[in-house]
Amino acid sequence: MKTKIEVLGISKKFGDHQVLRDVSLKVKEGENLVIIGSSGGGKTVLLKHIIGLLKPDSGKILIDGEEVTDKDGFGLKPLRKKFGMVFQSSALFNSLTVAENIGLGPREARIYTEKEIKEIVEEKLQLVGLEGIGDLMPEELSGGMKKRVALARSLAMNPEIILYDEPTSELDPPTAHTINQLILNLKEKLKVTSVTVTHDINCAYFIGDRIAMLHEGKIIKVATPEEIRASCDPIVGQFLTRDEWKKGCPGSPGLTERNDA
Amino acid sequence: MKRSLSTIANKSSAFFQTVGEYLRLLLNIVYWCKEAFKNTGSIIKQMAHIGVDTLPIASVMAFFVGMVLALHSGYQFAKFGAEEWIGRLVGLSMVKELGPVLTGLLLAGRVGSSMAAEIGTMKVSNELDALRTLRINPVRYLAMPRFLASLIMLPVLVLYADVVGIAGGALTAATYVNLEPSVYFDSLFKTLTFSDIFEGLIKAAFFGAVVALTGCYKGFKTTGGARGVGKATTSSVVLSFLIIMILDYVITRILV
Repeated sequence: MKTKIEVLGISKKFGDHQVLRDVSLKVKEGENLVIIGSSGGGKTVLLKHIIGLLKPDSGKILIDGEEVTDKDGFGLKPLRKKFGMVFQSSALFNSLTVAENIGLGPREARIYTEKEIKEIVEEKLQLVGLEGIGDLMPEELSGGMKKRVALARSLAMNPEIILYDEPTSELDPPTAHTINQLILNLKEKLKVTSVTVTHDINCAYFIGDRIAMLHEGKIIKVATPEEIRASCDPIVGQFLTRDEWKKGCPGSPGLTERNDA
Repeated sequence: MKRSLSTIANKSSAFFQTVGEYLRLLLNIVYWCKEAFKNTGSIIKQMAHIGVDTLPIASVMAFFVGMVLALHSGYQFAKFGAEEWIGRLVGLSMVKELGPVLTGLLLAGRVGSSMAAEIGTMKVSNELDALRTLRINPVRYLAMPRFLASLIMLPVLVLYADVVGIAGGALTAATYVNLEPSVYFDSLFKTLTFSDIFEGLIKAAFFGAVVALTGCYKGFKTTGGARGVGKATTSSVVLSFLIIMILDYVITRILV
């Protein structure tokens, strides 16, 4: 399978804080790679590098073989056409209605008529299961609905790659499950490549084809969900549920400390 | 000694960096003005917010400033029997100086601060990044319409404030020193020239640009959540006041 995204040894420092250290990753076309790591561990920073919102101090990122990291402003525009991004906070524009939020990208691209934009909005709302809420304002939506509208907005320009930043954070378990299911459905239906960052191991197991573990700015393991479950690495164990860890590696010191705490 | 030298060096470097970024944003906005005709909707929306919504407070301010000017000058001129000079003093003060400066300051407090708060909130809640991922340039989408609207609307507001201020002056002159309105306006029109009005409007256009540019700049530079938004809002007003005062002197020096 063709490599869609290639991250080659990127490092990033904010002030004295080294956030990413020589991170390398490959994402194949059509797969969903989940990057799991603790909060503040640099997952979102990595995602923002992939879409070109941040520039690394060293290393490079290739999308379909084309370098992102040497481009700025106008140079990034054609590459960003390939992307959609769902932010952790949803980042909906509060002064715009749901329909205006979803239609903003197509409208500003100035290649669609108002009728076509309306059709796009309706189609994307239907895709995320929220038909008929176009006139609502973002503050009238629940957390789960906001995530789904943000997803519909990112789908409006038919991206080839979708980046999800903590798609299930701050959601109750049933809503988180609905979002995970939606991510899987869209992957099947639209055949998009996805990169998801999360600290929720259940989300990672559910939607991930492969899971990459980011620890202290470094990728420590990239494996399938099954391989992760079977891993005896104590750092990997920190992300696993108690039962899973005990099954594979009973008496792990990492787990004991965590449970004692 | 070494420590204070290093502090001075750091502060100077931060100052020049701010000036550089401020001018860079200005150039960026000027560049995107080429797309002004494609963004007429948002420019008109901003013009309504800046102009129409500011009218009530601008009216009250200008009316009372005109009245106070007439009160002070009426009291002094009455001592020499030169009450007819009230019209020219109020007119020239309003048109050349107080109209543009006070309306500029009013706009900085009312509109510049809201620009900084709005864009700042968008920045801290990732909405600016969301715009970029949708391939929408935030300077083109947010700053350019605000800049043009402010640049156009402040001169209009100043013209309006001048008229209201002069009317306020006429009312006080008539009631306080019993000066006939015809004498007041006669004295005013004899003195006031088109170049005086033009000077005021030139100042207004510059101040309008400063208010929007500063509000947007502070908004784009916001960091640190709600506290950062508050800080950006306050500093946008302070910086606008400062630049308006300095620019007022510079423009007056050039045009006098």
